[in-house]
Amino acid sequence: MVPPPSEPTSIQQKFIDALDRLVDQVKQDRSVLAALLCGSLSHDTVWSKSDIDLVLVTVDDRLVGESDLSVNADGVNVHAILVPRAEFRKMVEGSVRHSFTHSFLTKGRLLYTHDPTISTLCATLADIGRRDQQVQLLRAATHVLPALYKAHKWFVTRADLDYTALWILYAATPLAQVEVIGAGLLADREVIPQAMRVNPALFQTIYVDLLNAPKSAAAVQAALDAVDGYLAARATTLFGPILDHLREIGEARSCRDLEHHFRRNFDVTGVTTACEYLADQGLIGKASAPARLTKKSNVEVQELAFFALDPA
Amino acid sequence: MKTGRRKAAPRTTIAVQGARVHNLRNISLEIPRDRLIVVTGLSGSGKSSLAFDTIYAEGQRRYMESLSSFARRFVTQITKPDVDFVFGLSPVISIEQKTLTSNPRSTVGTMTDIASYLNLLYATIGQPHCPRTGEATPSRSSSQILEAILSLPEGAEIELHAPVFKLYGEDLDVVFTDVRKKGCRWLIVNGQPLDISAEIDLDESAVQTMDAVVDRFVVSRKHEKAIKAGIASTLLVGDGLMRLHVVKGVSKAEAARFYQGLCSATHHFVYGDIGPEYFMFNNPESACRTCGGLGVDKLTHPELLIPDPQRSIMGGCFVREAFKYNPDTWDGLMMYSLSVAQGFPLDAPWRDLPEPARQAILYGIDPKKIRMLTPPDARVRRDEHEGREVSFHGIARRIERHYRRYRQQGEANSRMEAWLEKVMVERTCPDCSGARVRATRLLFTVAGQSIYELGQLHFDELHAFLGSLKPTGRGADAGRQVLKEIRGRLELLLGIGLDYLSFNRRASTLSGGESQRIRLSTQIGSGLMGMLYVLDEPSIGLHPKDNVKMIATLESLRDIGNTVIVVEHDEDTIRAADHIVEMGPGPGVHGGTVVVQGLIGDLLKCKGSPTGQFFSGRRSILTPAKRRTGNGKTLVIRGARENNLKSIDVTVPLGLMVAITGASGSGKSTLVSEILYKVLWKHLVDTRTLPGAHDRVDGLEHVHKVVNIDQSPIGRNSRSNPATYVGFYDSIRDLFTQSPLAVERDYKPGRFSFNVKGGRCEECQGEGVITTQLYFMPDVEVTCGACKGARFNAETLEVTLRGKTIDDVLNMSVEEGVAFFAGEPVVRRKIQVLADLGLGYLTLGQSATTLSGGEAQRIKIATELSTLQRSRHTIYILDEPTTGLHLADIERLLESLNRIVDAGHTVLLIEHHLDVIKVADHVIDLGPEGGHAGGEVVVTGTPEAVAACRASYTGRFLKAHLRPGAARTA
Repeated sequence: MVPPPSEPTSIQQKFIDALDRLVDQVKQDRSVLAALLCGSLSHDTVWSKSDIDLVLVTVDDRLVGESDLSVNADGVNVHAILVPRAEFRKMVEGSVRHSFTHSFLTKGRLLYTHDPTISTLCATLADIGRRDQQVQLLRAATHVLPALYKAHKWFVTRADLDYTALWILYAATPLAQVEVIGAGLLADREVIPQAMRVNPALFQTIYVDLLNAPKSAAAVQAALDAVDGYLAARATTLFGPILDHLREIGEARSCRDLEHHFRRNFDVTGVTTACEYLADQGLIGKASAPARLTKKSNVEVQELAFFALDPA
Repeated sequence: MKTGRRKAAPRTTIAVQGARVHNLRNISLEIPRDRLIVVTGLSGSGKSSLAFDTIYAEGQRRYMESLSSFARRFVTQITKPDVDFVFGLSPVISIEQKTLTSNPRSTVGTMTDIASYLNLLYATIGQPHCPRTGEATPSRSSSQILEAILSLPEGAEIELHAPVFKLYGEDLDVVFTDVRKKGCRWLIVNGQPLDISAEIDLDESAVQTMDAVVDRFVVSRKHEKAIKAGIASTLLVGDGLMRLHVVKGVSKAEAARFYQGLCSATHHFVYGDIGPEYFMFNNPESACRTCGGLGVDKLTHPELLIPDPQRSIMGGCFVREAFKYNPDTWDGLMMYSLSVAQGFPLDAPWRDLPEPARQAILYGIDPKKIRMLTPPDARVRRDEHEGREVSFHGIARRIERHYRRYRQQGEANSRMEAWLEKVMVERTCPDCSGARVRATRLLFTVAGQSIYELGQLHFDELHAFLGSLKPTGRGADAGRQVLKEIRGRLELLLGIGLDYLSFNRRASTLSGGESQRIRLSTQIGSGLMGMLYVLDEPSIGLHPKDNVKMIATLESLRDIGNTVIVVEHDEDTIRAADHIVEMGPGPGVHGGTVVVQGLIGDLLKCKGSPTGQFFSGRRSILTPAKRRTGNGKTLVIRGARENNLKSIDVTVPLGLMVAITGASGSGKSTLVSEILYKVLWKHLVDTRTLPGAHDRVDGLEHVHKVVNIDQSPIGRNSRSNPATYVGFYDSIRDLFTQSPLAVERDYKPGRFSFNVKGGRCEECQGEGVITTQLYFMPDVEVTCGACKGARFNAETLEVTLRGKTIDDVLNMSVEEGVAFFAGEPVVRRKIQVLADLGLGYLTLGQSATTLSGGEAQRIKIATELSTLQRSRHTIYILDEPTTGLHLADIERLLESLNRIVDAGHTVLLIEHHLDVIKVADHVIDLGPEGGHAGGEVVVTGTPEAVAACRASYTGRFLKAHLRPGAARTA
């Protein structure tokens, strides 16, 4: 049974009033430089079980460290996240765009600050750089692949429509991140609703239809085709850094080499899956390199490797 | 009224009662405290058993007992020595002859702790420089920087920048990711702002300067803590260096004044909070990022990759780990494609391949590409790639890439690197050029010298350099104190003849004697008094000219109020002692008693003292009446230039006993062990050996075998013994299998082995003892209850050979063995050699772990002597074989070496002992000094010729030892 709708406006107002009173109090605290309202209340609708996420930027002092505190503000639970200014600056500047931290802060609202440099910092949060976008696209696209492979497997080997659909739904979140980030928007934690606005047709097929309609082979096949087609059409962009790297080095590189490179250079892991996908798509070639299974192994095996394909 | 008890007089002696360790025969003796005491005697006579295994062990054990049971958990427990009591012990320190560590991070500087003082010196009086212009740059504390910033007008805006640098061999992306993780999004690259979250379009080679924008502030007292935290963050990102940029709110003149007072002139840099750890290469934050503070990197070497150039690629010319041709693998496909592209055959010997082909195989063909072709003999076809073009970077490059990956992943000590080591050689780190620290550390100078340059100076040069320093300005007072401390310690090192060493020298390259002397100097430097020091042959490795300094050092250790017990054979040291204890009279079972103790006069008078006999002249190693002339053939080392060798040519005549002499550090070991031995080993045994730098060696065809006889143990566990090492144990086992009972029971030789199941006691697994590990107490070894220490089971022990069981035979002394096996020529001949070398007191099954270095060396010589082949000319190399040997032992050693030479072979000795040098047929004297001032051939020829050479220190000392016309006794 669907619960009766509450009165959002009155709840919202209750939260706002509680927050205002708390902020008035906190403003008097000389160890707090700024308050940043994050979470639902800053950009979304609250309900009765919501809490208020409040980032409080504190002074840099060895006695004032990073900590969390649950504050009771007129019966409203306020999750106060205390961050010294230097750490806050690192969070703002250092968090890769579209990451959870970045999204959390960017959707926030600066309530007040005693330090003008904090407002300057917050103002930069909305700038989304191309390199960050590329890295996050690679990361998100790489996360799509394992779920997609599983979906195909369950469809082909067992014809299990429910389980195939579930795997497609698992892939929906990273796919939504790809869509939102690719559109130059800020990816939220609840990214699917965002993506549905950007690409309703795709998410109708791979998300809404799979959830709402009875699962027929045709619908599941259509969802799989939609995801495959979506990725294939964007593969050279999404996995651009891998293609660029392989093209630049020219020769075959083992998976361990590739993982090592992308971890050091971009802080991205799991590129082997992406390489396998690219090889399946005929965008790169598969090779092998000698390797040993353990440090004590006395036999050699062939490790999977990849190389850039030049026109034959 | 005085009621206190009378204070007892302090004890003036150390009394040992009822010592029975090893071969000591329940001895009791008293030795004076606060004196220099020498314990001497033949090898195996019980010197070390008394000094180390009784006095030192008991002192150490009692100290350990005084610790809490909690503290004792962290230290190895020491078993109580078999002695009734030792009175008058002090805290005891042993200084043994061990190369302390093989850790590549350990240097002479870290061993002596002087590295820490040097770090402190640079942190206090080091003059920093700008990384971009080299101009003088101030170094301040973060508080000083904060105060300077706060002195700007309120409301001014300031930006804190941290310089970042490209990483050797890495893409800029690695730097960007690293900087980003540290919380910076903006860089100033070549003066232009760059958002590193945005698309980066940079020509990496054009990047000259990079500064990370760490923070920006409005100057105000109320932001003091934020600014302070900002400075700390900036120094963290900038690795101790930061740049200040006044953005606005300040007039030009004010800004100029601000920069002038705080920063470098051009780029406004300032170093902050520089402490000693900033210069420490063992600190990961300071260590060179490429080599991790080791100063060396690794590179593949073709000779290691291709041990057998006569083989082809298909025939397996590469070491297995590097490349194995298989047409079905990707590597095989690439190699085949390369061979087609470059036009070389895969089945031709490596040495016959043209040089461009070899280069292509090892180092690739970049930027060209290879057209992929499936080998005709491939079972796996890759038709989809046929005809495509790919790059090939070479086999050597791939190994180097793997090596870098392991290093970057912090797996430098993994077993994987062990195989990489097989095919790689060390080279100076291309990033830090051997300095071990990051480049910014070398921007600090003291009188124009960086910390690395200072560490390269030999101690004598460094002492003079530091003496000329007159610290002024910042940190001058502290600097003067540090300088005094360093110079004091240097003087101690100079005082024991180590003037040729430098602080950057790796500890693992030091000889045992050098390590011991360094530890000795550290102890003197500690200034402790009332201690008991026990030293093992400190004269080893010292040229007679340096020995005087060594003795003076021992005396100074005594004079500051310590008791110094030295196990020693050196005559000068014995004569300098306040009290002498001679153990003996013979080795092993023939020793273990005190022959004489007292002053040198008592020793000389004692007829039963072997030492007294030699020192009084009643007995001596005589100079041979006639020198051998050799077989007329020679080995000629040309252009030897490894380490300090000055591109010298050295001729080694063959068929002679040749002594290589010279001052400590003159290049003897480099010439013989690093060049000649390795050249011979490479030529005769393993082509992958890499000798030290030289042009060539002529005459290699005259040598058929090379043997290095060192003092390393003959085995690492109790299962190795003289019988197994020399190789007559197999024959003994065969004899046992021929006994009637063994034949009846069909016992095979394995039945009489304590290494395998069958005949051995399974309770103790052939060890004879069972070790029990206790928590707070030392491990306890108890004789096995099943075999009663016999190591074999009852059935095996029922088999006898002329009334003796296998256990009885293993417990026989060598002397008894000669008699027992008189009728078995093969066994007797081999045991006889041991007896001839003065090892008659050892038991045939004596555990390798209980043998001294000298004994191990003589067992090796015995093994060689028992297998001498006249037809195959062999060179025997011995590095200081007299270590641990008494003159009487040396007499026997020389006798056995002469037997080798008389059989037509060559013996090459690195030696300082004048009694050995005078017996040699030919002497090659290097020097004249150690280190930079060495590495030349001073003189070569007979000992008489060397003695006649005024330029030779060896000659000067040798002169007194030569007595022409005497008969050969050794």
